[in-house]
Amino acid sequence: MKPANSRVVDLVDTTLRDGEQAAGVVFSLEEKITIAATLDQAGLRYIEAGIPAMGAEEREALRSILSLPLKAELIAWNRAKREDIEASIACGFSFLHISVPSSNLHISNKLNKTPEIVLKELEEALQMARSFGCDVSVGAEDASRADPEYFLQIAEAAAKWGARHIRFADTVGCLEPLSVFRAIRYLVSRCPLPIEFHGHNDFGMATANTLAAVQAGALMASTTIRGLGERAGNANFQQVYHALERFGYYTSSIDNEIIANLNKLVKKAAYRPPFGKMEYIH
Amino acid sequence: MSMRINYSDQTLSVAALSHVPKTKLILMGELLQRIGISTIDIPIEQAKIYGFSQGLINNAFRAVIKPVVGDVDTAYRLGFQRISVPYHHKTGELSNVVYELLEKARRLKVDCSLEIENASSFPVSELAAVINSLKDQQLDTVIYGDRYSLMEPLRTYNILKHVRQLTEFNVEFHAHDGYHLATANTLSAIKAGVRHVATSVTGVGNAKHAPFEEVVLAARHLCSLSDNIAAQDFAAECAIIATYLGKEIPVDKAIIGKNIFAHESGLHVHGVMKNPSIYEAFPPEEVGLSRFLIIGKHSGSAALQAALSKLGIEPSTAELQKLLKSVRTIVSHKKSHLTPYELLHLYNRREGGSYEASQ
Repeated sequence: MKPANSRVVDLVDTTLRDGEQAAGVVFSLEEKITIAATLDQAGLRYIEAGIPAMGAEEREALRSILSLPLKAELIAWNRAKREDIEASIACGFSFLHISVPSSNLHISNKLNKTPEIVLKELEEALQMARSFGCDVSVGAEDASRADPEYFLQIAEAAAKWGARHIRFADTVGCLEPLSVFRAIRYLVSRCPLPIEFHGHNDFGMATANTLAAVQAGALMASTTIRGLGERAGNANFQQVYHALERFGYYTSSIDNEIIANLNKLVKKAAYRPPFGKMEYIH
Repeated sequence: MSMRINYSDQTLSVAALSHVPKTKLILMGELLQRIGISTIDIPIEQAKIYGFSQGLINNAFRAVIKPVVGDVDTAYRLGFQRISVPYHHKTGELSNVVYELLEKARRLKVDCSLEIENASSFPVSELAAVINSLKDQQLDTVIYGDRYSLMEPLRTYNILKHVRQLTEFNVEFHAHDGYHLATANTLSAIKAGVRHVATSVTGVGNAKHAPFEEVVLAARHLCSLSDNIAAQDFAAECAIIATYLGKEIPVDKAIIGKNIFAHESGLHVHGVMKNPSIYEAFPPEEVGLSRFLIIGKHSGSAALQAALSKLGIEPSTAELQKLLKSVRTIVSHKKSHLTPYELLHLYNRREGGSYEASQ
């Protein structure tokens, strides 16, 4: 039941995309299908299903997920690249998430690009996705270390092409709740689109950061089952769900039994050993 | 405000309550002190059962007593110089026993901390009245307890800032982790100027505590505070402590999990090879971990090239693209990553143009 005066928060599950990116994790086709179906049963409104640009086999798996009779909207993850968008469309997705770097560290150090080029590529990718009639959302990678004004420029471009929301990614989990609250509150008052907070757990604060983002006005949040994800993982669905509920935010009433099922499913599917001498040391 | 953070350990208490053998308990106490923890709480009953006495008890140990005057005596006789008194406050005036107990501690020259376990359960005005009624007492530390996990970080910051202004006593914050907000609440308390915090390694405990390793690294990197903690072997030391408690550290446990510096996805490996801070919040050496570049489903050509180069192989771009495709196929079937030997094997079978043969 939705309590009076509480705000609705939509959760975007990214177990099948960011979760599977945890080093050493590979889901089988059967696992993907079962996870997607159970997430849908749980009442998640958005499922980020994967990256069609990864290859033919991945696209085949994604097609199987797309063919399931699900209520949730399935989202494909893309870089702002023509080949990514083409792969997603070929796969049959009608909702595309397009991710761009937003901090200088990521734009110049990682990609040798400029903020202007990134914006231009984003607009081209958005235009292309829209020309195929797709819904789009935009992700600002490493937004926690980016200039907020640049985040807003990305949001403006996204809004201009009809994006439904924009993701603020704390890519390396380097924020704490007070700074999340300050950053998101500032952006919410200026951003033309609803903000989705995407937290990582590097300092063990992904749940708290997600709560703080919602308190500051974020309308959406990304989570993964069991917090599966790169390094120390993403914001944990069950934890976020309970914390939001405890402090007066409504997601959707999710059966505890289904959550337990999901946890069990993902625990088994994501098993990986502790890495040691056998692996590459950088 | 730069005073260093003092950690009050709750791990040893948990170990003592779960009947860990005495030798392990002693080793744990030594290890915690070597790491730099200056306060180790132990329930007085457990100290008695384990036969703690003068020889074992140094100034790091703080006996957690029941709110009865007799326990102050017991702690003193065992050799404790510091006690902590958990006190469950009920609306109204402070119980007389607290005054009697503080008087006893003063006479015996025992340092006393008073933990208002349920401080977060009543309005701050009431807490102010309680603290005010203690102002002429000899008390070392007032501990703000969030026994029922009622706090969230924004509220913690505001309230603890206020509490600090109310009193000259040291203020300690004792978070519990019912909603997985304990690390963040503790960090908020630190941001509000609190310099004494209760934590346990990995957050172990009945009502769970703030994980020590998370608070230490978060305070360093997100508040730029220095500390007396030796973290360079954190991962191994926390793993030892967990073993004493019969627990294992999950591979993705924040700060100390074995795999938290393993990178696989193309974008991430590419970034980390250029500059680790692109995808790492702090360097692995800081906590005694290693960075791994894993060859798996999400690997890109840069990672593959780097891995092969370590094996003394410099493939052409075309070879690399082909190999990458095979890697994806194989790991999908194998449902795990490739070790360097498996990669080498795969590469060596490239003749004839079919990598898939080595499935």
